Amino acid sequence: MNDLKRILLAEDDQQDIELTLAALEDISLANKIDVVRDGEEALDFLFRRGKYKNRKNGNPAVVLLDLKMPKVDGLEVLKRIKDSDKLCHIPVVILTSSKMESDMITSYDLGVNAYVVKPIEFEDFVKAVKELGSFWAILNESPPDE
Amino acid sequence: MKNIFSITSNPNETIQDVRKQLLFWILIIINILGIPLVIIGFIEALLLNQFITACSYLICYSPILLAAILRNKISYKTCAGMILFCIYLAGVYNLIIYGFSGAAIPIFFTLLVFTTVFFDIKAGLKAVSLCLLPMVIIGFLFIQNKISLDVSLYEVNTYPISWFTASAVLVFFGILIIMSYGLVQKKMLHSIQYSKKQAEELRELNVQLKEDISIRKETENKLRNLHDKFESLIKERTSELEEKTGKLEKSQKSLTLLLEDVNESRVELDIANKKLNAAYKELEAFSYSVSHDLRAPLRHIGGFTKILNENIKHEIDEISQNYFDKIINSSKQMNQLIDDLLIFSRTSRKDVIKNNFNMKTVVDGTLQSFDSDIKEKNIHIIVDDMPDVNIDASLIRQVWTNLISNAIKFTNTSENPEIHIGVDIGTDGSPLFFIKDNGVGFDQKYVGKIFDVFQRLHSIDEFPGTGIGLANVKRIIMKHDGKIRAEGKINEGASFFFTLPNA
Repeated sequence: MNDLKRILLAEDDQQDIELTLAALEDISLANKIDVVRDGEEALDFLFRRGKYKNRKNGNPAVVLLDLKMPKVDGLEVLKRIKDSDKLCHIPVVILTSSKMESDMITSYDLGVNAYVVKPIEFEDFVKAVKELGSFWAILNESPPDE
Repeated sequence: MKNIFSITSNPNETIQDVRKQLLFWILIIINILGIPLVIIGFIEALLLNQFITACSYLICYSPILLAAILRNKISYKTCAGMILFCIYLAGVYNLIIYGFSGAAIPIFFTLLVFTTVFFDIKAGLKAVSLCLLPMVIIGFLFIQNKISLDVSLYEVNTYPISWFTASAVLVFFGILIIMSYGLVQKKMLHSIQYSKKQAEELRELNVQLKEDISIRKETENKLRNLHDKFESLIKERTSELEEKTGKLEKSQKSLTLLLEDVNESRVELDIANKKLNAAYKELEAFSYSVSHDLRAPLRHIGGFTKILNENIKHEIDEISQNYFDKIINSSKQMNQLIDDLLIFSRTSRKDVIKNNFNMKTVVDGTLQSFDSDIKEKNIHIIVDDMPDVNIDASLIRQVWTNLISNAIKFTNTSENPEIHIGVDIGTDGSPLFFIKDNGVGFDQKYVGKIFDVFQRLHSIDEFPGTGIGLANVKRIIMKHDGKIRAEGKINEGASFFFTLPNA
């Protein structure tokens, strides 16, 4: 287990960010979260460009990706990640309110690792986030960095 | 005067006419020849003072003259008879005077010929005998020397045998001449008859031809008439055809216009269709937005309230805690409502796609998702065998999900909860599916409201629910052209029956 494993959260809704962080705090992962507010930022972060040019080395253990984001939306980000040689191994979990089959199909076509619909119930939402976090960031062996 | 040689030209000319003509000509010839001779003889005789001889010339010749003069007034027989009589007289006279060596024999021959010509073979033969008579008499008298001839005769005249020979010759040749002429006459007769016949035939033929011609003319007329009729008919038909063509053109034009209209309508229909599709898509987007965008804030409300509650749990009193619970429950309620509304609207928009399924399999599959509840609450489930049906499986699954979840929900308070799912035969012979539970039931007098949207017969505190489940069920059943009804008894349980007639 690598304590240095970090989670990248791409989410544009402030409340959802706070809820997610609150949930992850319970399992002590809150400080290992990097938050980006839109698709462009997410890509900048991952590709280490723009304002993230000088970030620390190392890919996140998992990317929690919302679909409905401004500038560049989640599916585009997913595509870019899976197309890139450097980033394609990073597990991507789509965490979205959308239950649309078309989104699901496209996501899996692009090679998403998991697709989780944000539960309506807050409790369930918290539970889901905790499970995701503890699995991907703690239990799962993330791909080695190149 | 008709040409005597053209006997056969006139078919109606008879032998008699020929004879008449012959007579006429002979009369003329004899007169032309005879009159001068008689005059000469008469004068000669007078000069010789043979008064009697002169008179006898005259007397002998007078019939011929008379005949010539009176030829139109006397009959043919009389005329011919007179001529023949004269010739006879001349012959007899010659015989008396000159005997055998005179012109008697030739004159008698002539007489025979004329007689046959003027009359017939019988008359000719009679003439032969008449000529013989004087020859015999005079010959007999001569032999008896009773008479003597004036002129010096050949010796031959004095012998009786020469009279006999002469007579024989006269008879023989006379008969020969008569017979041959008779034959000639007969032939002439035949030929005349033949030409008459031919003429007759020709006439007949002519008549027939005329008939034919008249028939032909008639036929021609008829043909012309028909032709005229035909022409007029053609004109009629042509005008009819023109009329019809005109009408056809008109109807074609109107058809073209109709087609244009149809095309227009189709275009309009396409536009309407597109609008409908667009509206549909808008509605989809709307419901999506509703579900998505309404839920996020609700999640936040619920979420942060929870967190807040957790944080100040120990610092607040019971009343405040109660308020917190109320807020959280309300947001949960609203979530549920939104979900139900979404499902409700989706089922109403969705088209029914039918396939063959076994109803029991569908029910069993639906029950699986309630496994934990069933085990937890120790519910006794009975599922009868059910037939194959032609249904939209996803919609019917929703029906069973709602009904079963209701059954489970409302048997919460029962001690031995039991749910029975099965099928009967309906009144119209189609399957009647049912689900019966022994739970809290409902007041039958409110059964009319049970399928209404958002209508509940229990309070939220007693049993959760938005009141949309059964409305949804009813909608789906109706989409399958079926009917649903409910029966309930308070604290005894509820039963739901539905039919799927076209399954």
